[in-house]
Amino acid sequence: MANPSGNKKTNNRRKRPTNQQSGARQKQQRTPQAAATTSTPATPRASVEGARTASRRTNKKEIAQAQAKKKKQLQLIIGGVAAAVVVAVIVIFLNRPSDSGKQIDYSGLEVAQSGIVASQGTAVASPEVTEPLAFATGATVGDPNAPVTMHIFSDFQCHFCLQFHDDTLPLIVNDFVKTGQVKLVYHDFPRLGTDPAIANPDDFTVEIRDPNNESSLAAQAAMCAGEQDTYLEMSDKLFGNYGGVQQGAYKRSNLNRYADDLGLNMDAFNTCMDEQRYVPALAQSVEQGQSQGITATPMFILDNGAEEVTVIQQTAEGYNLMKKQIELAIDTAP
Amino acid sequence: MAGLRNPFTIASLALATVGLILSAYLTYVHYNIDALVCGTGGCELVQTSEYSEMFGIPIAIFGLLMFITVIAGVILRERRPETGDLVSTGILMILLTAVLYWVYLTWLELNVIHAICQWCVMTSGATVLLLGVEATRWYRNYTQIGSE
Repeated sequence: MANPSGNKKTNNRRKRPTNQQSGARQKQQRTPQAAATTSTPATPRASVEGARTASRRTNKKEIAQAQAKKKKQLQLIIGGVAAAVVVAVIVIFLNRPSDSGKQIDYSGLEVAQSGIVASQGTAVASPEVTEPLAFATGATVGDPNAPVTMHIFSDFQCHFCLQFHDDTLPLIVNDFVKTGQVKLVYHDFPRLGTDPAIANPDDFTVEIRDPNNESSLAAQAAMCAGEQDTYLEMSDKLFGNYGGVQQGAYKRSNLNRYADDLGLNMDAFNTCMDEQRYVPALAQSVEQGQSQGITATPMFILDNGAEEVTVIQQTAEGYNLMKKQIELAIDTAP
Repeated sequence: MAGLRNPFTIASLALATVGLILSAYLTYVHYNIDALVCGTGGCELVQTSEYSEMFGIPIAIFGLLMFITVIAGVILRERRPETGDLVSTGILMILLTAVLYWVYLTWLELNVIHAICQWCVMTSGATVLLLGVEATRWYRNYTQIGSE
């Protein structure tokens, strides 16, 4: 039977000795027992205390190690998060949208404002106009003798028109207009949102349906800017401030701000806008574009002087296909 | 590799694989726009916008590289546990940067491009979930230090 300290308990049961024997034996036994009593009892207690102390030291050490490890991990993750935020901010800054939008480089090109704005009158198209494509609300850009004329029908609220303006138009200007092979003619075709106005094709009277339609307001602003030779700059400004359909980007107060930014004569601009001077022209632009097969925006007509013109639009192939179509028109020009 | 039975590891690998497949598709579509299938109607506009590239490289390729790096990191962490702390931190850093940039891209879609690309939304979702899984894993490991 073991005692709690683990030492084997001495069996005290023995045969009762005689007096003589017990005395001698007790004497004999006492000495070893006495020796045993004085040396052995100290070891079990010391071992217990020693083990407990060692265990406490080990625990403290482990706790300290764990805390150090936690601290290190926390420092690592805080540093990582900070680095991630800094990298993200830098990358976002480098890829932020341009405040002024895409500016098309027309430098070195001949620009003629619309014949309609040049007249600065209420532009009601003459019924004698037999070539609807000559009825352009926007500017003409490029060599007047270029073999191919590219008519661009666009709506400032149309997001594909924005994409064309930003991504494809610069390529066309660079590859074809600056080389004298193509001249561009801009036609405003405001038809997104509610019908701003419609024109009666028989007598060219115009019914204004929604004076607050932002496609129409933007196009009016571009034409009023054209009176001050800034149709192209206003177009860039309008696309640069694109805001979706009827979201307020082209409400009157913003248009005034864009005009002011361009340094326009604000009295003249405001008068032009207040009179809704070009609403009839825009309604007719839509009507005549539709008569030429324009059913959406942006759409384009390539006129190389041949008997028939070619109507094209943006496709998933983007500029790759359009470039081939323009080259074909150039190659087949009579 | 016993570590690959860990639910966090399985979840991370699964999400990163989904993200990898989506990024691979978007990379392919960037160069072959005809292959784009879109239910929201705005995918083409987003995929052909100027914001679909960064420094002249399609964003989808960055996504592809990110998911490959995460998968490699997760496997490395399981095979060599001694690299766990550094690898976990690295993965979290990459995912956090990606999520922040994807928040910006979503803002661009809504406020500048005015079109939504469903594939971009799905890729962003996979990245956010992946960040959640890795962050949870890290936190659990952190709180268990010293309590085993």
